[in-house]
Amino acid sequence: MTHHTHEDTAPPEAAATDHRRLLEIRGVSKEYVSVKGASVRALDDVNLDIGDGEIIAIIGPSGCGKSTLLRMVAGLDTDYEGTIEWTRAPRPGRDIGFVFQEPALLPWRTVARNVSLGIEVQKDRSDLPTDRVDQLLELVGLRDFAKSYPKELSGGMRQRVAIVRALAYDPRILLMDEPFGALDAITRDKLHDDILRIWAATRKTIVFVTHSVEEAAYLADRVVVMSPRPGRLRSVHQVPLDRNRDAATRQLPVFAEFAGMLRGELA
Amino acid sequence: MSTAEITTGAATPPPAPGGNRPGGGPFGKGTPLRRITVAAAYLAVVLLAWQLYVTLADVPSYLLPDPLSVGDALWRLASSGELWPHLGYTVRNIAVGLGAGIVIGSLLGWVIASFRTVRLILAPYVVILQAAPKIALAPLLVLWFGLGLGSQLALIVMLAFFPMMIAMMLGLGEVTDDQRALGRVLNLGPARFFRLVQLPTALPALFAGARIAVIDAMTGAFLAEYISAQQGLGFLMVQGRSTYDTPQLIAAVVLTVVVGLTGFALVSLVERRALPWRR
Repeated sequence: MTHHTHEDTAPPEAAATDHRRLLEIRGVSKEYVSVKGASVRALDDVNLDIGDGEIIAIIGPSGCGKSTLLRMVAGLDTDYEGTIEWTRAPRPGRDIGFVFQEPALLPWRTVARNVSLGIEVQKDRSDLPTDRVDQLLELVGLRDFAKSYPKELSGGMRQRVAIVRALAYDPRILLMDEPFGALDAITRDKLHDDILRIWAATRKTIVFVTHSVEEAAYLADRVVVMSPRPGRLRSVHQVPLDRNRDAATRQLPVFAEFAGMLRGELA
Repeated sequence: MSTAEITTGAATPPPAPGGNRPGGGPFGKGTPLRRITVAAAYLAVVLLAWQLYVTLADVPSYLLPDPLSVGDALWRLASSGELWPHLGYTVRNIAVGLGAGIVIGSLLGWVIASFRTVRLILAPYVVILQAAPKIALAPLLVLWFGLGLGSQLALIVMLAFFPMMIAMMLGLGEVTDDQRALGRVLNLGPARFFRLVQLPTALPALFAGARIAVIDAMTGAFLAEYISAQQGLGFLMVQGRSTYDTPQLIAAVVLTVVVGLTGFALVSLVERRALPWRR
């Protein structure tokens, strides 16, 4: 929350340099033994700094280890070489918000109770406002569905619930593993704007994995491009756009140019 | 939306308010009044056919009594008070055996699903035990547990635990990798993860298992009473058969069916209450 006031006019470069460092990925490699018994190098010497309040997109072809990297940051995969060092160590169950490709909601809980799950299981969250869940549902336009069950919702709505569920307990970082991959294009665009709105309201650090260069360019401050087998960081690009983004942003020549450049790197 | 679905095609004008559930009961769709009417009419037709057959074909009563004499036998048993201890005995045994079977089966299913070593050691024998015909084992149980309640409950539990065990194993298998990862992100310990994720996930399967277990427990109860008991509905059957009182035999069979259906209906009722999100 360092630059509340000048956020709207911040030049593109400021995004990365201004941020205090949240975590540091140093020399992370991973090897695993495949079913056939061969040793496979999934990640090779990955180095990356993630700043507080930054939005980072990780793109790369299938099997480049980008999901693995995300799960490592989440603490879901602890079997790797190298270090992931946090400026302040994440408190278990409290500082990581994770969104999966599928919503992974609990079907027996209503929308509101799905969102409140992460708050319920923590000891004392009196620091959060009592109408926290309502506020979050309002933020993604689902307040009228608070008492519905997940099966009564569309795919896009469910994924919105999954996103605010991950935000409900106010984690320090939001990690999303191809969160929009299973959605149609129109729903996708809507959820992109949801993410931008959520970021504007919370200034959360967001790291997400995607296949889509447009998605990466539209949402991120920086785009990390990975190469396949073994997964390496090919390059890290600053997105040449300010944080004020909307549908018109996609029409800008600079947007098209940047997306085209990313596409070229993936080919 | 569920009410709209099931009131379509209902001819009876006043649609029941709210209480209507889709797929309710074995007698198909419609308002409760219509369903009851259809069920009653169906029963009447069956009884009438039975009565007609017995009368027209002149079947002797010891082979197949007509519905009226079965009703008569039922009334005789009920009004003399002879029925109630027998009925109570059987129902209690089913309840106790089923309860134990549900607990043991669920626990066993959980253990087998959760621990690989236990699965490798235990699973084959459990299935072998289940594949063995229980009727053949029943006399052996009498040898082991004596002629009394022990062998009867053992048989009921042996029949009732299996569907619950399988249901728990299948139900726990429904938990997705994402849900497991979510549990880790939220730092849920094993106990909390079980209560918040695993058990609710397995619940629909457990109810499906319980419906089967009810019927199996009932079969076990009658089998046990048939073989060894001095009491219960199964004993009434034996008594009816050995005294050539076929109306009593059939009456006991009818009561059996009623007990079984009631148990089945009770499980369905609890299920509907417990799983509102599945409607």
